[in-house]
Amino acid sequence: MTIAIFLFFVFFTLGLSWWLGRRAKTASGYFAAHGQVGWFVNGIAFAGDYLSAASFLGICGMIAFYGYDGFLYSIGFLAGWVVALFVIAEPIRKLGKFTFADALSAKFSNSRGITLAAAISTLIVSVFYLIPQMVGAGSLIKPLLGLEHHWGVLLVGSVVITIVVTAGMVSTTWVQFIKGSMLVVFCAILVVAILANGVRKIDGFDKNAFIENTPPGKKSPPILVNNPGPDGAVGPLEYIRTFSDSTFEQYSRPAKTTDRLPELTGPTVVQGSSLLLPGGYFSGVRSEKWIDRMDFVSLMLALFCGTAALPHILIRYYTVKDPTAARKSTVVGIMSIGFFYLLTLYIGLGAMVSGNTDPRDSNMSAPLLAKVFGAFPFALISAIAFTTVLGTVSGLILAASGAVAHDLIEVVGKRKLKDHAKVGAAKVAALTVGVIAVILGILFKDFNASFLVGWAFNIAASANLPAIVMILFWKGTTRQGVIASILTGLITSLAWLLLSGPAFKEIYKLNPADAIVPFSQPGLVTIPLAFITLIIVSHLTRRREPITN
Amino acid sequence: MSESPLGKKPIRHRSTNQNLGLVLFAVYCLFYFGFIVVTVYDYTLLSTELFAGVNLAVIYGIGLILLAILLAVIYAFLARPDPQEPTEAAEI
Repeated sequence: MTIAIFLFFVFFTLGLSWWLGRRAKTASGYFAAHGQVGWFVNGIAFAGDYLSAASFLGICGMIAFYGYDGFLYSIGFLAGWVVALFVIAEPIRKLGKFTFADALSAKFSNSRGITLAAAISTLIVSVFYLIPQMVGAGSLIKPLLGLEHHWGVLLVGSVVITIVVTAGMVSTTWVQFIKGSMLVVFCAILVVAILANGVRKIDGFDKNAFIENTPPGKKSPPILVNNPGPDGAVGPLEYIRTFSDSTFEQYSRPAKTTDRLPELTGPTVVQGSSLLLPGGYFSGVRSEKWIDRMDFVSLMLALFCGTAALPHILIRYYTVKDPTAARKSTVVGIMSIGFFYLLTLYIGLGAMVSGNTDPRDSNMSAPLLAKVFGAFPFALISAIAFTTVLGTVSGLILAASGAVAHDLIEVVGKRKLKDHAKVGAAKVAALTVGVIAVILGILFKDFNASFLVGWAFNIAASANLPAIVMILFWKGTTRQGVIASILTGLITSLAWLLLSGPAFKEIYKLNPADAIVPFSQPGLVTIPLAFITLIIVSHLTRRREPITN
Repeated sequence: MSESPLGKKPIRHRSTNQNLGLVLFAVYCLFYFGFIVVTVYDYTLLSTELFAGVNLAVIYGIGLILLAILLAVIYAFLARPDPQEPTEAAEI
């Protein structure tokens, strides 16, 4: 039944996408749905775009494994929408046409330099955002269809490329609308089931089998050992209080040093109240050194500034007819996304106490929690999660293909394409970006999806946000200043991430203590750096080229 | 009174929306960065039980999410429509 429901969802999505895609023959239809999407549909589609594998699989998984720190992503991801709504939404809708680069270059007579820099930034941010979606898809396929991680990534890659190549923004919008609605509704139902179940483990929990799956160099997720509270159904606040009063234990497996799997150590007793504080994952928060705590500050800043600078979110402002509709759809988006993020706390904690998680893969915690309530909820939640990945990846690939076809070929390359040629070029670009994402999704399979999305937020916030904000609010901004700011933010944030502890540990398999940068999240340094660069370069070049409005 | 980028129509309504947005943005920033400062200064302050046995960390986190929704709704009610725009929305 699981496979039947799953296949139904995939074919339904593909069918709907193909049917709606027939209406998008022009470039305006392909990239921006003719700018005629209703504000409510667009608002829920915002939620569909935004509630990606990172929000659903990644956050719930991080809460299930580390407690409160996963919820920091929920707080930060939503806070970013405040910047989007109050600062960016309406002005950006007035400036653009198809892409983020359009908006940036509009005040500089469609500068080719800005368009080139913005297109490169769009491509890199999109690819970094695509990686965790692919990682999430691979995690999902393993228990669902019994296939290895890389087959899951390949399957998602193929389906999404088909969707984007055969469709465009109209169908992507509707896929996101349906997916966003279902995700919020079914997660709400899941939370009701969690509260009805109370704070207790699944029947027949096999502790030995559970801790044996702990990978080398990792801790097992917390295991509930004592719950002093009520055994049955509880209310939302009582659930948190009971969790806080409960006791958990964790086992650790030292990093592998020989061919033999090292023995487990533990248990370490952990109080529920401690799991409801920051520092379980971002351990620097609990450090005595100030520099260690900056990792947390940097992450929260990047999440705050990143949302409004994500290309696949920005292009959704062009699918509505005017700035008022952009504002209304953002409000609808914030309401549905905010409600969903409240649910993630309960889904994550519910997964932790149930014990039905896989210590090797945090990303599967939410679907495995659904399995506690039966095969049907598991199939349904897995299918929704898979559709979530499909929808988000479609939007991202669409943004990237727009950057190539519209920005790079037409504006930078000065090749005026006819509508069908432009759409054709976008489809070739979609195929290329999709293949790159599949390869990277296989390489990054050991990362938590939220953590990887945090990287994309850092890059977007560093490369794009300073340029957007200064164009909108500072008349002294010059073309050269914008270009310098985008490139500075892009290069420094990328370099920082690739020289950070997590990259040393998970990508290069080196000791993370040898990392070159002092903390892993670059935003705290690279966002101000991009702002300063823009201001200095604009001052140096202002006389020759003032802003044209 | 300033002019729109198109140089034709006055944009007083736009400034009103923009000012309203910036005020609400400042309110949210106060609470959001307050959370960051408290956490960095001494994260154990967040363990204080605040309401119904729930600690400050959870109440503050949920509060930030609810505050974002509340401010968005306030903005939606108070922001003025742009008179340059058509009034009827075409739906796909």
